[in-house]
Amino acid sequence: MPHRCTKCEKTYADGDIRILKGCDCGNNRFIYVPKEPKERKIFDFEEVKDKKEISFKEIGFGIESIKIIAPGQYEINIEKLLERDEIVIALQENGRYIIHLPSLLKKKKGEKV
Amino acid sequence: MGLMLNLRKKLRFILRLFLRKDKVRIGIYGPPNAGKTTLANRILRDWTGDIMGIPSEIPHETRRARLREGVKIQVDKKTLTIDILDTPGLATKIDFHDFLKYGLSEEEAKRRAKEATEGVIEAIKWLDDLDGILLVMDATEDPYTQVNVTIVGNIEARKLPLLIVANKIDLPNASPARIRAAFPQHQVVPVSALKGINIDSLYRAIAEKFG
Repeated sequence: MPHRCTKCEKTYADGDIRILKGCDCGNNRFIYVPKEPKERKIFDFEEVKDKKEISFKEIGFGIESIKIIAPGQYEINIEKLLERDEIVIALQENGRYIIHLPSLLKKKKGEKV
Repeated sequence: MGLMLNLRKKLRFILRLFLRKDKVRIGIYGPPNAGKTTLANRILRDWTGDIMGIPSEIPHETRRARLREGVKIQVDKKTLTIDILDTPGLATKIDFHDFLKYGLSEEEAKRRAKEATEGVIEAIKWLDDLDGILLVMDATEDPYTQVNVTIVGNIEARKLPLLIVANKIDLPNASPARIRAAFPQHQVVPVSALKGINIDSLYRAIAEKFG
């Protein structure tokens, strides 16, 4: 149904006689709606939008393992520390980060104490 | 890097298959002031006559992990040798203001906060090198905290044997049942590390779980 009435938004299949005669509502203007591609596009867009929101959440609120709010005040994301090797430190929440790449693998067991 | 880590884990797993039951390395974990050092001291005092460290009412007294190797525990005429690791308290927020009320100077309190934060990282890094975990919780507190839930989940994911120690049962408002209800999938041993109450049950559970 690629023809949509611009007034009542009723859609008609290609070749429908009412496209020539006029819509049931009396309007005689129609907009051509290419069915498949347009719907696909909307779907893709939504999908991308969702993905963006998720990655934003990850980057915006969750990459830090440790936040230094002020000297002597720390927030520790234990979950992130448990899951990853690297330590990401946010400095006073002003968008500056320090990433401590794992020195773990270079360390020998005995050096930990 | 990930591949190397995987290889290390696999190698450790194979080694553990051959070496298990001779010697196990157990980490004592938990939030600050749950009684980890008191428990480590209790175990060491009972079996070696020594102590691990000096506990304190000021949170984050232990800021470096301490390892004591070769502690022999005897349960039902069976001997198990364990290495005990006492770790700094795990916390999601460390603020030097909390230490000021204990009479620490601002400079001391800030240094303590910094070291405590480093201690949390150190404690977590040690998880890779352990064979079992004693997770100590204060039975007078609500067990359903972010720290407890996160650490239990991660230990489960690592497939490390876990015993939950419901400490401070000598206090009137202690409720080990609350801990049991929060983590029904794990064995919970109620003890008082300070007074030594029910500590034999803990040794038996350690021998069964980690031996």
